[in-house]
Amino acid sequence: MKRRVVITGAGFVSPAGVTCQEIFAFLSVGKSAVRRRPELSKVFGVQSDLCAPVEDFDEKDFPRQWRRSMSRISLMAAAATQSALARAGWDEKLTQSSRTGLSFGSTMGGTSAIEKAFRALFETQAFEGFLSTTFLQIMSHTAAANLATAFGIQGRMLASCTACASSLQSIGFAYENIKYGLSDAFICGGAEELHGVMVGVFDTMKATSMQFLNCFSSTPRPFDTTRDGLVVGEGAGTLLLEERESALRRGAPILAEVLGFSTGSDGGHMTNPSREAMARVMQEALLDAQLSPHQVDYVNAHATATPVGDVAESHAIYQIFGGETPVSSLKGSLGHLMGASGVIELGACLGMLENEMAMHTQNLRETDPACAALDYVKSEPRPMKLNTVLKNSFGFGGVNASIIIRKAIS
Amino acid sequence: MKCLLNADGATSGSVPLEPEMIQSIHTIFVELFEIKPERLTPQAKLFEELGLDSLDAIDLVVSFERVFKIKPPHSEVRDIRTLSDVYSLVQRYYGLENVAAS
Repeated sequence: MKRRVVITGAGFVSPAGVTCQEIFAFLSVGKSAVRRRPELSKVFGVQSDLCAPVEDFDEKDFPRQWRRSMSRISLMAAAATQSALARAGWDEKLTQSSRTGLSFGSTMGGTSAIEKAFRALFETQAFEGFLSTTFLQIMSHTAAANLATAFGIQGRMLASCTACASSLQSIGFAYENIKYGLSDAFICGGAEELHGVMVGVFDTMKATSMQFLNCFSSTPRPFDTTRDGLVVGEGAGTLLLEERESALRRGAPILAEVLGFSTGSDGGHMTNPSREAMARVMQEALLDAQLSPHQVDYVNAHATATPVGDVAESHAIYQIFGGETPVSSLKGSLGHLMGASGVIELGACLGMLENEMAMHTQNLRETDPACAALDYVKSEPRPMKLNTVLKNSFGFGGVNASIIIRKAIS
Repeated sequence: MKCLLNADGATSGSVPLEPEMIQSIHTIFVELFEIKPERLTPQAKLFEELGLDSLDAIDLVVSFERVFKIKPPHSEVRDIRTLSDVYSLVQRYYGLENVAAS
C-alpha cells in the first residue's frame, strides 16, 4: 500500500523568522543572520567568532514541567511544534493516537546542559547535585523525547542523530511511515542549539569562515570562488505530515505534497563527501517520486560554503540534472543551522512554492570554476514556474538525504 | 546550621526546625520547583497542591544532599505527602548526620 503524503503545518524558531513567509521574506531581501560573538573566542579559544543565533526567543514561555527536562534545543523545538500544529488546525485529540508519530533529530543533545552538568561533575568528582532532569536535557534524543512527552505522542518515536542531515532524515522517515501505512500523521523536524563547542569543532577542522570577520554579512559564500567555510547557527523547525485523504477530510491546509525521499551513506570517509553517493541518493529520491530529472524545477542545495563540500555537491547535481535546473543554497544568508538546517530550509522552499520564486544564493558573486556548470541563482530571487523542488542535506559520517516536494494541487 | 535535638540527642517530629533551615527548604521549592513562597505552608500537599511528581521527588532528594549533606533513603522519601513531612524528614536525617559527626 502506497499512500500520498502532504505537509499541513509548519512552524519555526530561526534567525530568519517563525513562519515560511517570514523566512522567505528575510531571504528575498538579502538579509544575513550572521553575527559576531566575541565571547566564543574568549571562552572557547576558537578563531572564528561568527555565528547565526536566534536572538529573540523567550525560554520562559513554557510550564515548569516542560522546562525542567528541556535544554534550549528542546524549548525551541517545542515552540516550533506548537506553532506548526496551530497553523495546521490540528486537534489535540488527533495527537493522542497510536497512529500519530514523532520524528525529530539533532546533532547533539542540549549542549548548554551538557557543559553545565559535566563541568560540575568533573570539578567535584561527585554526582552530588546532579539532578535527574539534567540527563533528560543532555541525552541524544532529548528533543524528540521532550516533544513526545509535552504533546502527548502515543505513536512511533524516531530520533535521527545524523548531524546536519538529521532533520531532513526525520521528515523523510515520517513520510515513509505514512506512505507505507504504518502511521497516519507525523510531527517531524529537527533542532540545534548554538554552543561554543559546536563552533569549535568546525573551527578545529578548518571548516569555519574566518576571512570575513570584519564584514561578516559577506559570509558564508556558497559556491563562490572566495568562500572559506561555514557559520554555525541554531534553530528548530517542525512540519506536520498527514496522509492526504485524511488531511482533506478534516479540511487541513495543504502546503505541499511530499513526492519522494531517499537517504544513504558514503561508506567511505567520515568527513570527505562522495559525489557519487550524493548523486545516488538524489537519483533514488527521483525514482521514489516517479519523476525524471527535468520534472524538478529547482534544487535547494545543502552547500555550506566549505571548499570541498560545495564542489562535490555541484558535480553530483550536474550528474543527475545537467546544467539547466536552477540551484541555490540558503546558507549564505542563514548560516548553517546544523540539525535544524534541513527543515528550516525546506520551510523556505515552501515559501518559494507559494511565491513562485527561486531564492538566490546570498554572497555568491563569482562561481568557483571547480564547481560544476550549474544554473546558479545569484544576486536576487528568480521569479519562475515553480512546482517541484528537490532539497539536499548531508552530514558527517557520510550520511546523505534528499527529499522532493511539490506544490499542492487541488 | 544546627538542628534542634531532644535531650537524648535524637531528633523528634515535635521539635521545630530552626527558621533558617525551613527557609533553606523553602528556597529549594522556590528555585527548583518555581512555587510562590506564599503557597509554602506546612499543610501544603506536595503532589496534589504544589504540582510535584515522582521526578521532582528524586530531584528534591538530590537537593537535600547538596544543601543539607543528608541522604534519606528513597523508601522514606516515598512516604512524604506534605511540606510538614519534608520538614520532619530533613530534621530527622540532619540530626542523625550531626550526631554521627559529633
